[in-house]
Amino acid sequence: MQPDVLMLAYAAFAGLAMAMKRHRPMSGNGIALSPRALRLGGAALLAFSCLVMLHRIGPGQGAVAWVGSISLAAILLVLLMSWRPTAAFVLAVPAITLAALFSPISSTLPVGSGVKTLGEDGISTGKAGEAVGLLFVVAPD
Amino acid sequence: MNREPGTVQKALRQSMAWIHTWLGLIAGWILFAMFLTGTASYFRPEITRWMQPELRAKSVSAAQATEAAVRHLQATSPDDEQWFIYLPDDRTGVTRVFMRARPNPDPEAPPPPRRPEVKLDPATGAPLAARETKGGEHFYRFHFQLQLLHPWGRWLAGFCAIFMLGAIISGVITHKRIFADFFTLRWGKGHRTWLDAHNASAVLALPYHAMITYTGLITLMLMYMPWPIEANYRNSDNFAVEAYGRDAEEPAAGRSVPLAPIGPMIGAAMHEWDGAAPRTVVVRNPGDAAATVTLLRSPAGQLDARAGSIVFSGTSGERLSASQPPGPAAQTAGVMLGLHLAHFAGPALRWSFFLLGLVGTAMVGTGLVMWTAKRRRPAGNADFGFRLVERLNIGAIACLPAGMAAFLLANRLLPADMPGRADLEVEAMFWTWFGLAALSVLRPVRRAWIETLTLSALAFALLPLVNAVTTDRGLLRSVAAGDWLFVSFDAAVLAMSGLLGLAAFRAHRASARQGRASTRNAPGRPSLAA
Repeated sequence: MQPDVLMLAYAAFAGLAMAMKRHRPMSGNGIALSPRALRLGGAALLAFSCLVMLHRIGPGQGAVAWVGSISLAAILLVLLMSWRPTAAFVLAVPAITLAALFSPISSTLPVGSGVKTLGEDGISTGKAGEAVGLLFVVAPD
Repeated sequence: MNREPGTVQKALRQSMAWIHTWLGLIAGWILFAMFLTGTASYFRPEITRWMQPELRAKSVSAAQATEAAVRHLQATSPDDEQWFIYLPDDRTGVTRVFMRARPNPDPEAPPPPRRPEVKLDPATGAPLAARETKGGEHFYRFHFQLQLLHPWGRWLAGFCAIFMLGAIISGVITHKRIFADFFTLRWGKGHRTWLDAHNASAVLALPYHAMITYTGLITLMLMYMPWPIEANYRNSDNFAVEAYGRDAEEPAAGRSVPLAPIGPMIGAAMHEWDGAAPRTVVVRNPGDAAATVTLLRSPAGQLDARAGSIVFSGTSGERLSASQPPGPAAQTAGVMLGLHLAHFAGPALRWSFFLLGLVGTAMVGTGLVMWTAKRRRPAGNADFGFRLVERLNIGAIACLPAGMAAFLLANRLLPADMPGRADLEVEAMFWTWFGLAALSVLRPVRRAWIETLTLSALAFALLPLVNAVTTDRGLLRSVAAGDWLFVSFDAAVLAMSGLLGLAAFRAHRASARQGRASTRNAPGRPSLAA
């Protein structure tokens, strides 16, 4: 399972959606990033999620799995946005945090062995902390 | 003729919209059934296992399972021409064997009767007794044969798939605002909501829809388009030999020599395949001096659904030959088939495909409902076509799930040793599906939607209950035993029940809103609510 790719793609699409005027939450609730930055950030995250998947399970199956994962992430986001738009965007924060927790370890190890070593790796928490700090700027309060 | 580019574009879009509407409508009901049963078929071996609760999966090595099966075959049918041993994997959990008898040397004699497949315990090779059922195979077969006589079901499924592909392409051209509406889904806005839901389910999973439709078409390509082979090969068997290699066909020598142990051959093959396991073992002329053992590689872990094979001598164990690596065209076809079947996918990706298949089902369903939502007149539509579409929509969308649940319920409710029960299970599905659809015609449309959806939801909700009462593998015990297949099955059918129940609830609310709106309006005045 590549849950981190799903979460990265979720955050990526959330960024892309927030960049659109129609979906942007009302102003004055803490969105510090411009639509342009959100769009670029979303695209970069999406590209990064692709690289993670390709690196992990190879170009053939990786491409298939990536397209499937981002489709599911987008559907999940749109369903949540149609129901609780703010919560849908806020969820991008834990999504990317968890992805950061998973990614650095599991991408360097063979598939499936990532979860077992979680917590033994000091680097991961550092990265995750950084990601959380970074994302509180983006998150609507 | 000097038309503005905008006009041309508009005309193109309008004609594409027309194509999209009518291709989608005509094939829609069958496509809905193909999508839903095809989606269930991602779990073909798992459904079969659920439908034979007497059997417990065991995991043994390929060599061990083969040796056990060979012991059984040597004891029961030593003189057969061919043994097919389908090895267990972590999804099927049992060994299946199929024996082909030697043809009668007298050409006048009738061919020997085809013997049924036998399931064996992977560890001991003892035959397993389980209730007779078609299992997950039924949904899989229905998905492309539509329970019609061969080859008509496949042709009909193919036509519908071509319509689907046409609808996807024309739909993309028709949709003016793919990116502007990418994240748009608004509830409670009448036919606008149906359009949003149709667009979202289509656009967000578009790569999946295009892939599954196109690869599905390619799967039966040689049936729809036999002419390239006919034009180039006098005998079409020669094409198969050239494309996929020749099967061992040596006649028996007539001298009996004991069969060499197959375990070492499997070891050698797995070494040659970088650790990949065999999926099938074919023993030809067992016990004869000319015996051969063909090992077919499992396609798990590779996109190409067709994997190679190695032939060993059945007496000395010596490696005789191996299939050639496939050419680019054969490999392309194999990858297309692999993408469609998704046998390469691990559990996570398989569940992803399953969910995307449900999204595809929703796309077809919302498209069908939209056809009526757009045309519904507040005063009611009198024309036959509209009412026919309305009724067929109910029959396809709301009644098919009840039929599928009935198939699974019949598996638990019919006595396990009843003769002919496998066919009765299938009949339960169609009688329930079409019977419910026919009965729903007696009810007003809105009531019919609510009632059939509720019945479908109830049928799915009953499954875990009936399973717990009729078997010793109910949900609580499965959780306690860590039997995740049975736990997931119950969870999945409860989720289906929840979805259908939600649909029934929303249909009920929409109907209530409609009712209030029409009483507010003066009699004869059209209601504004959609």
